[in-house]
Amino acid sequence: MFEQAMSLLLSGEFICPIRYPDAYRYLSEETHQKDVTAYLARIGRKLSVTGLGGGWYMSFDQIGQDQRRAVRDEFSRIKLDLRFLVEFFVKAMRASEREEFYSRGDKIETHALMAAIDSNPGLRAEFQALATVGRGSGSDGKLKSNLDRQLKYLRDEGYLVLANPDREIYQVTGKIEYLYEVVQFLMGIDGIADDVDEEGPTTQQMF
Amino acid sequence: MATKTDLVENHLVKLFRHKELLAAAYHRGVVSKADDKFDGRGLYELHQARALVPYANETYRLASSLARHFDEILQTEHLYAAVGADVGDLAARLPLLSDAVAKAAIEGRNEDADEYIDQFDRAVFELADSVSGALQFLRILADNKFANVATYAEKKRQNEFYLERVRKISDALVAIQTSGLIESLESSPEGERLLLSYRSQIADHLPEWRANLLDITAILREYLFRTRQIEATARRFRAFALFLKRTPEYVPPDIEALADLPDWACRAPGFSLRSRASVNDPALDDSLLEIAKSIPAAKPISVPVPKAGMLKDEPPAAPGDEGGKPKPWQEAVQSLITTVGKQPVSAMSWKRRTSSISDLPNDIWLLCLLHEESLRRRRTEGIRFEQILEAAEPLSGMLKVRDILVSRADQ
Repeated sequence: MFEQAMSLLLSGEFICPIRYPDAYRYLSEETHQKDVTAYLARIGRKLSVTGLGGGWYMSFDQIGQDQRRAVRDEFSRIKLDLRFLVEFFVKAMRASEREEFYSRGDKIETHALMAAIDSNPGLRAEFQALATVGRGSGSDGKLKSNLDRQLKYLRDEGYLVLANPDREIYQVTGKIEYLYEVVQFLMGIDGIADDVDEEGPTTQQMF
Repeated sequence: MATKTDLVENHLVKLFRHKELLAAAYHRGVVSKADDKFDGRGLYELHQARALVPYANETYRLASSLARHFDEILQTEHLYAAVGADVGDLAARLPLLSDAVAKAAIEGRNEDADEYIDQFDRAVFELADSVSGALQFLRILADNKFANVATYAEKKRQNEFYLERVRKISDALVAIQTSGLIESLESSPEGERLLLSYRSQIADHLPEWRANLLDITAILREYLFRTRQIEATARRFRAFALFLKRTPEYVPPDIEALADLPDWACRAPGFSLRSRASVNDPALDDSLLEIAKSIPAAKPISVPVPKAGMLKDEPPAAPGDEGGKPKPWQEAVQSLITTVGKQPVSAMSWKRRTSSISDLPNDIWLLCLLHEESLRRRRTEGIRFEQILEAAEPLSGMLKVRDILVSRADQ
């Protein structure tokens, strides 16, 4: 199992209980973490885990000039995707009438999501608009095609796995916790309050 | 005279006879005469059997003891269920019953003692069953994360309520463990008989129950912590999405210049890993051979052999298609610029003397020379082309070349 876990870490994967349950279980043991850490230390890397413990990944042991360049490249990718990722998950949450944000293991049923979006013209327009955010427009402009493409992109990026191909049910992976941390950091550094009034000022307040 | 066994059987037969009515009462909450296919007789019999109790407006509800039984069987979850509520009371009965046994034994009332021992056995079993049932119920609730309630806030309240229930059961178990009942039974008459059931049903299970309770507590606490985190995360993401919507020009700041990078930013990109088998390693020979054998033989690429043919005779060159052979005017230009000296030579006079270009129109000849001059070739270096112009219409922009005087400049 060391070999599998190490190969995944070296190739830049997030090891979470949803996507790689065996490797995740392996890394959950302290002795195995020590083995992996010792190995990675020899190539200037270390074993890191998301704040909520849902995803193991490889990170730099020291940050020098070369590493800063790599950090910049990685963050540039995040910047490109950030708007799409945040908006997709928040809109999906709203469409599914969830109070909780998605966490590892949560399911996204394509058909249920599609039906929820389709029955709400506002959401429908928002999802259509989302199709042009970051990812380019859909091939035929249809909502289902756009949604499929967005879900596939999230799967390719490691945020989702296709848990049931027949019923098109996706499951959120531990990488979502990485996104939590990015957003939390940006909100902190840019002074974005997390208690904003979603509805905006009411008519009464305006007068 | 009916025996106790007969009474139970009769009761069950009665319940079975009106099973539809009981099921309706359980699922719908209340039943009335309209639901009774025996036109009210079913309601009457079940009321007599204490399976139904009058509710309001000639409706009946299921007796709570029977409803609890169905809940247990069907694992129906209720909000704020009084799970394990009776554990403390049931445990408190045991010393009282054991005292009664001891007193009856001392006073020689053997039949009473037997009866009390039987009751003690039942009380022990009831306590054990109650604790096991409560633990099982709590475990299901913890594992399915309060799936019977939809909203996060309700889940949190349920979670906190059941954590309190777990604490109460845990306190009751501690009380049982520290009650000294075992020591008391060991020194009392007929205590041995009581100890047997107490040990097998309660004492031997206490460590397992406490471990289960600790597990459940851990799950509930972890979930409570997670739900609190999730609540904060959901609020944060909504706020950030709203911020992005209101600030379309927002671009996250560059972070690589920060002195202290957050942990997530230090994530290292992956390596592109690719391995190849070492063909020089004898240990791999067999494996490689096996792989090689499993690869189907490549089909030879068939290249069609062209038929042998004969070269055709070259067709005669078309008139004017002389390949690289210079034209007469080119030869004439070449001849003029190589033979010309310092003395200017009139191009027109020279043409008249040259028979090879006699057919060439004069203006074309002059154009050829002007072209030669414009090319500024190495061969015309030092050759001067002096144009003899005719007077043209003023301001017409026209230059009429009548002749060109060609001469070699002084070196």
